[in-house]
Amino acid sequence: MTDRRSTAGGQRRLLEVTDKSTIATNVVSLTFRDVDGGRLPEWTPGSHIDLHLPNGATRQYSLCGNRWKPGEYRIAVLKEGHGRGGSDFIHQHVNVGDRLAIGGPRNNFAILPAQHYIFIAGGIGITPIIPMIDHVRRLGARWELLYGGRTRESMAFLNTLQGDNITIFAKNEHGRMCLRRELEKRSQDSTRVYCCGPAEMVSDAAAAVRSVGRARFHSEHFSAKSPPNRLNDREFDIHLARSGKTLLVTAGSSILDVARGAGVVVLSSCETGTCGTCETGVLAGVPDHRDSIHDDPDAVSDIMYICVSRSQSPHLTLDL
Amino acid sequence: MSYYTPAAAADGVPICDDDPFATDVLLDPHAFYSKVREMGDVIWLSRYRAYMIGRYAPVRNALEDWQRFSSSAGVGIEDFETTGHDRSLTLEEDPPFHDASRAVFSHVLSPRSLQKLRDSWFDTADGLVQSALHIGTVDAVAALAQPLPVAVIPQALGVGGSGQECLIPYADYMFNSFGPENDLRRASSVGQEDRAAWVTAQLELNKLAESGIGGDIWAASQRGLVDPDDAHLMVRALLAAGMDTTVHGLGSLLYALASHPRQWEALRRDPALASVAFDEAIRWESPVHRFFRKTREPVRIGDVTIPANVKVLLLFASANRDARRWSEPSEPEAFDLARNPAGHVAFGMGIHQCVGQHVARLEASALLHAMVTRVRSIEMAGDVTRNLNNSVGGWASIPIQITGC
Repeated sequence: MTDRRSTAGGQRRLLEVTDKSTIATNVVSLTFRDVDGGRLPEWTPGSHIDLHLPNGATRQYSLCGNRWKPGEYRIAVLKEGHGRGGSDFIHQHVNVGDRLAIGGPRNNFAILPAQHYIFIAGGIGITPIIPMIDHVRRLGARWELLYGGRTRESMAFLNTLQGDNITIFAKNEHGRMCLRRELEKRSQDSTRVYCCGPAEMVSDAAAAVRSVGRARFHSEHFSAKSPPNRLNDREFDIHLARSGKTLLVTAGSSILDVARGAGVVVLSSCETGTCGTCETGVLAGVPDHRDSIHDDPDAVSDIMYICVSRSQSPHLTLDL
Repeated sequence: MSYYTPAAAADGVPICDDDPFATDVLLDPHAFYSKVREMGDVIWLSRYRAYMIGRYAPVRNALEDWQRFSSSAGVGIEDFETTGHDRSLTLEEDPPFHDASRAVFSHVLSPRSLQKLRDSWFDTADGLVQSALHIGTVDAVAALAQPLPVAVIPQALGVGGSGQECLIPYADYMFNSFGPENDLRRASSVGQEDRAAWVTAQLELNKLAESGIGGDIWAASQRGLVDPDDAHLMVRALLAAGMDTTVHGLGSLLYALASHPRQWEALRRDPALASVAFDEAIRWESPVHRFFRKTREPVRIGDVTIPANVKVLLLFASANRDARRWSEPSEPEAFDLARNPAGHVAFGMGIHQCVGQHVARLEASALLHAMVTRVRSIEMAGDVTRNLNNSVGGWASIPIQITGC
């Protein structure tokens, strides 16, 4: 039993790869744990993490593991074969025992209450759907899955997905699935449709849900611009408007620590960016939000949570 | 007794024969907590055939570990999986059932959503402090700690009309009912049906103001974020959970300031300390003293393995005074504004951490602002009387004398 306060704060979270396995053609599953073996921040189905790779790339991956295992995160990565960026690097160079920095988790694809769910997954888009299925199973809601891919061999998690309510469309066996026809058969007024897959498929599904006219549609949309690379945290200045102090926040310290160190009284509680207690007004500058409170951090600029968040601009003026 | 499920004592577990719900313990809880902390990480509570944890680190770990320390069998001594009684929404649910209502609560009670209430709450607190100054010697509970939540909480929820005072005894019974069927619980149940009927009547949809937090919860249910039946229970839960806890929290704050003159002087010199004063006060004397969890699998803590499927009593108020955690810059028994109270478990910790904490802090902030602005001295004017309850602590009466600037 140790007091975890010492490990909280503005530091990056370093995770260690504990498993890497091929789970389908060109798909590897990675399992991570905290380097100290502690609990990882809470997440809900639909959440993603930012993975900061040693080659400078930052990529977002949906969590596809089990919330009942609080010490580990799991992701599945499709090798995209463009020869650059994240997925090739992960397939070729990331190994068990490596340590990688992560940001988040955050959820832009949260599962909402419904009597009946239709999940539509295309290829690697199955990843956020896996914990969603576990979630609605436990809730006792009715659900169906439409899962499409090129071949059965290319489709991850297929062996865990069996039952009358699961329909598999392997393109080389059946051709493409007709989403409109499938949704026509299945949609009810109380249905929520959750869709994740290639952009074209997501827009087809959205159009199909609209034309069928029942059901509500939810899809995964990662923000187009990649988040700042947190491997290279930089120092920046903060100006505290009320106390009239200007202070330097170094790469290894948090705004909260620095303000407190200068004798400014700031209240905090969880110090992991989840409770919201250290909310602070931003008067000038562009915050780099790293909390798990905002679902859309780009939409917020006038407040920040200083226990974990940093600055995108060299100067930040705070209402402290 | 059939309302809880007796467990078996684990090998090597220290045994406590005291009754944590007995009047003499409730009158002097910290003496009991100190004894519990000295006995070990995990204690066997022979009288209720349950386990008990009073040290900071294992209490905090259990609170965060919802996977193994479940809330869905109830957070009182009663085991709903045995009795079949209904559990309460959010508080007594594990994921995934917990998630939807919690998300809506978090949104409607976020600091940003509460911003619009700030001015009116500051005015209300200022009025109460002025009235108290006019009299000079007052009971801080009756004059300040109680009227502030009674004035602002039902109004913020959108519950109008009169009769809000009954929410205090209404919530007092709710918190007693987490404990065993003792005299305390029986006595506070008298009149509860009438009070519950008043609450039910206020919660009819057409009586809730659209602009209030209650209206926000209804709106969320209309958007499908939470089940409409649950929305009703959520507003009801806020009325109960936000009253006595806040009354006792504000009471702790006022008692702390009145009984620590040097801290009051420090606060007057540096009003910025107000931001830590409330959290330090509820670390020092926590409104919620204890809640239970139920183990889902055997849990090893130190030398003791708590078996699966047993109730474990977590002593929040004890954890917040554990010298293993709270020895800087002064001993845990001291109310000290130089302390950083971050990490206290007065609001719990983890996924069930008090979703109304920002509401409580805004009330405290309103009260402190009025105090620092208008009050020169605050002193004790008599002995405090404890409020006896199976789960919440605090004072029924805090005689103080205040003088204006």
